[in-house]
Amino acid sequence: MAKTILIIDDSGSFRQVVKMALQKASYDVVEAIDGLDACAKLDGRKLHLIVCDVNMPRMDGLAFVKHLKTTNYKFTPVIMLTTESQEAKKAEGRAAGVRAWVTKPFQPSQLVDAVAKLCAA
Amino acid sequence: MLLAVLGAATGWLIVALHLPAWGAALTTAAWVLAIHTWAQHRQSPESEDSATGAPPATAPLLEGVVPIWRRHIDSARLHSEESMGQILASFSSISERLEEAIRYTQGQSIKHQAPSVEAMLRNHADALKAMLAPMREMQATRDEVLARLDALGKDMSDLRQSALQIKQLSRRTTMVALNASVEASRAGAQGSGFAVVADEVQQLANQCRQVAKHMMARTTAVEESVTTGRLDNATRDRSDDALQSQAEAAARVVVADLLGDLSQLSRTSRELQAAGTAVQEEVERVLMGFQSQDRLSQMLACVTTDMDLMREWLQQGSDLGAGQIDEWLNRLDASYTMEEQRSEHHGNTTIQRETAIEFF
Repeated sequence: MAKTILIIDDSGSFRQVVKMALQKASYDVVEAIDGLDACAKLDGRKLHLIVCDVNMPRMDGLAFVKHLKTTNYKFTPVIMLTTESQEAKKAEGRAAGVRAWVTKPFQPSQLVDAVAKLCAA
Repeated sequence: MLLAVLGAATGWLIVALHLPAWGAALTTAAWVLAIHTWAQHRQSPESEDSATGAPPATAPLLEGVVPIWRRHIDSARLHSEESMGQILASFSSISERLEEAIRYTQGQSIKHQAPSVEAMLRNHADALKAMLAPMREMQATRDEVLARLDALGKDMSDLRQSALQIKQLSRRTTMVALNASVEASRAGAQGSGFAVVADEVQQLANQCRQVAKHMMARTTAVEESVTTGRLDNATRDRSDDALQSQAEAAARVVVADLLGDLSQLSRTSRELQAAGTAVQEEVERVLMGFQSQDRLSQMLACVTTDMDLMREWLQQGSDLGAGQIDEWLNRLDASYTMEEQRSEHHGNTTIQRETAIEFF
């Protein structure tokens, strides 16, 4: 059975790129346009991993991760996939429980490897 | 001075509208340049506004033009996002179709080396035997018919012998009847009845001879037909081995032709797969290139946010001191999320674009 990945990014084109890379690696994909939309997707469905942007309207990625840790999905691994490269932001993400930080632009194969590694852990 | 700043910024903006990827970076650079130049202009002792201490005379112009720049940039960003989205959707569709086609051809192709004709004949020996079975049954039936024809020929020969014996008997009977007639004539009137009997016997002997003659003619005709039939069959007769050899030779030709066609089909399929895979890789590279859209949006968002702040400041009608201008530029610097933006802000050319993955 394919594992399900939640992709959170306000850029539709970027979601499409990530979705293609993951679907090609036989993952099922659920999409959300920002943190708030992602919260609505935490509806009891099985999620094996979350790929999340940092800078998004309404609810940003780090705020979403902090919220995630208060839900039944607190053990779901999160990869931040972002243009954000500031160490302070990375430290904030690490403290919030983010498992990996991928800086855009990314190589699809590297993202897929990271997803596979964290899904298997 | 201000007109020079406006000209430079507008020029950069035009570039940004037409070349979105590089344009975003150039727009950021242009905006920083505009702020720097404006700050220098404000600090210049020759500045008329600074000298009088009155609110800058150019403020209304900036107040009017900055929102226009912002709207143009927003519009350019939206157009860019829409067109990128459409292109991305098209390429995604192409990529999916290619992947589907490649998967299909991989499923249909001959994955292993085609076997030799001999190996294929060996592999399908049972099928070949099954194909020859009806021929063998026909041959057995033909042999059985031939055996019966042989028996019939022998029976006909016996029958002809019997007819010959009847003919000989009728000849002897005729002789007997002739002698009886002679003896009846010698006996005179007393032998007349005997003469009648002798005459009847003579007629019966003649009839027997005719029947025997007819039988001999018929049996001879049947014997000739049987002999002809056996000879015809003998000329057409072929052994099982010869028949099988002929069938195998025919099958070999058919199999060789089929293998040739399959081999050609397989080569074509592999070439198509290779071409499809190459195209798909190119499409994926193009798709990955679309990640620039996200960076573009963030760069432009930073500039437009800063424009909003400047408009608010202009509306307040206050002036900026030198320290506040540095503070403004530092805040702008801190608002960036990407190294590219910081590089553009500081006029550096080195941009790190390698993927970096950190596991925590």
